[in-house]
Amino acid sequence: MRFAWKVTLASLCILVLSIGMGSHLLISISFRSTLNREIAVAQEEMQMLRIAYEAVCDARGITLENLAQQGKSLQRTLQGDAYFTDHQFRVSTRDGEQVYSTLDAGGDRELLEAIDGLSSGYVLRRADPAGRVLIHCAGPVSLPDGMLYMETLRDITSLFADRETHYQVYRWILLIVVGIGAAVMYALSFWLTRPIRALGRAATALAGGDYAARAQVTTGDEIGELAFYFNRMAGAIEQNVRDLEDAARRQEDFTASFVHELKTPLTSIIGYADMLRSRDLEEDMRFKAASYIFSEGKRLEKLSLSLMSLLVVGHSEADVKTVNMPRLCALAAESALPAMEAQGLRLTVSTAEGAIPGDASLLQTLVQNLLDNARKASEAGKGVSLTGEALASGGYRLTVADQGRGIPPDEIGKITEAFYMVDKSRSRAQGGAGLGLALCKAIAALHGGALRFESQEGRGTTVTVELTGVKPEGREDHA
Amino acid sequence: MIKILVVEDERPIADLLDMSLTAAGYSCDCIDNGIEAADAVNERRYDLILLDVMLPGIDGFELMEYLAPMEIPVIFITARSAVKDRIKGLKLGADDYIVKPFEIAELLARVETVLRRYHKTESRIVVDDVVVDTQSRVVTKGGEPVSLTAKEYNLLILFLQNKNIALFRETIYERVWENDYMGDSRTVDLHVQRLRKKLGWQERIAAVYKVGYRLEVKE
Repeated sequence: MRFAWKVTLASLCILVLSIGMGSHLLISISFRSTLNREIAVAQEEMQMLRIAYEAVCDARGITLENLAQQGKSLQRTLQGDAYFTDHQFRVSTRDGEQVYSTLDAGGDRELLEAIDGLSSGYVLRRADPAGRVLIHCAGPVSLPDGMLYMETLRDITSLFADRETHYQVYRWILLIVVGIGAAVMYALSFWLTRPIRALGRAATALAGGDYAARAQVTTGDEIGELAFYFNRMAGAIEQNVRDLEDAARRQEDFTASFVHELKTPLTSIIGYADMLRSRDLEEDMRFKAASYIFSEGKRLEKLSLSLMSLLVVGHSEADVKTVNMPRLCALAAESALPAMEAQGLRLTVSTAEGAIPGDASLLQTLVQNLLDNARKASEAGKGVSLTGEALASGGYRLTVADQGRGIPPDEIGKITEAFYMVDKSRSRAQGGAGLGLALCKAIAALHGGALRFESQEGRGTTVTVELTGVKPEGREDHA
Repeated sequence: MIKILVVEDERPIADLLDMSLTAAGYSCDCIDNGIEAADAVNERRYDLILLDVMLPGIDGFELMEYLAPMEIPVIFITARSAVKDRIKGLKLGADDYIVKPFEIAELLARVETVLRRYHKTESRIVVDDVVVDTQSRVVTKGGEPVSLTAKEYNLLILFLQNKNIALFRETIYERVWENDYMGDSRTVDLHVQRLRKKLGWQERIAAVYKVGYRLEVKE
């Protein structure tokens, strides 16, 4: 059942119960007090009649003894008096013998038997076939030598009829109130549950894969709060899913590139080998085929070595020692120098004292790769500089700057991706597989740093990396 | 002469395709990027384009979209072997899809098939007095029809596609029987014997020691 229906039904129950019980109580109380008043009036009336009757009897000297003789004249007197004819009453003896009666309805004897001696009493009667309700009062009339009994009837049918009418009216009121109440309550709860439904729709959309779905709820209550947290959760999920998709895409790209890098040399090797074995080739053709098989084989070897180092950096324990950075830079520069000189480049090295915890051979690979990239981008006569500075925070900043051809701005973000090459044919010619910077990035990350590139096309590239050193697990950072 | 454009940025592979296609009697141009390829197609008429997918500039799929309305048959040559890549290539209107690494014999067969589909090849191949009509698949020798089984016919076509090239038994088996070679050479030998006998080509289809067979035709 919908929440709005539940709220409506629950509030309707309360409404019906409270109005029903309240009105019933009200009607009962007012009825009872009216009834009591009527009873008091009836008893008063009976007393008055009794006293009047006693007075008449006293004036005529009537006793129980002479009642039989005086009866007729007494009757006439009573019939002649307007006061007595206006009232309905009956006088009888203790035994129930009727002395005088103006009653149009017969009363029973029970009341007379119930009241003893001098007291008076009353009873409510509904015995009447016309459905009338009467107050039947009885009381003693004192004669000098005994008692007579006076009975009166008072018609209070209208009292009961009124009560019925009241109930009737209240039932109608209840019906109308419930009808209006139901409509109002339903509208109200529908309006109140609107944000919940909005939340539900957003959740459904989210579950259906629309991670951009948000609940459009701006109420300031708990539901609004819930929607706020829901939206925060949806945001987190969206971010996670996007990250996962990114990771999956990178993985896919890596695999696709890897397969491409693997299959390209294989195609040449297989193709030329097939050609050599199945055709009679001219001498120069055979030489060309064999050279291609050799160079593509070399390319495969280089690819496997680069991949190995990339995997090693990612997954094996680094050999962490305190590395003297100036000495490391000098070593890297020394091994890069012959190739630089062969290409006609000047290498300037200026390093400040400093040391960080790290893997010396990996750091040397990093510096050498950066120098190698600078060399490949440069032409004869240009300069390459390697600068090392100790940072106040305890880290070490390495900068490799060249005056080479630079990197196009829209390529900078992608150059550290594995197998990415800005100029594929040139990289190939220089023996690259597109893994150098990916390796540098991994090494820098291991040492708490990231590569930063600044480049202007035709003017040169500056690579900066700030290393804080390998974080020793479970030990104080002694950088 | 049939002109084929090779769009491939890997120099060794481009040379390989060039050498193989030239040897098979095609005229061949090699271009190493997509933009120049689009220009070349506008300048000259080509009967077939062999297109690498990963190209600098615009990649093979993008180039294919440009080429599609020109109704030049295109065969993709790529290292991407994922089914979705093949479907993408074929949906763009390519006629075939060759996955690297490939064998020369397979390449030539696919090139020939696509060319035949576009009726760019001679439907009559004539070697001496043997005439093969590739459309009706009828082979005649000196005017007399020669009855060949389907496998023998395919074998003959394979030899004709690879004139003067030594075909390894495993290559023959894989091309004609379209199955992986399991080391049983007798099936191949038997069919070659029957083909030689039916066409009188005992000398022409020469056995190559330890390798297989070669159809020798003097150009």
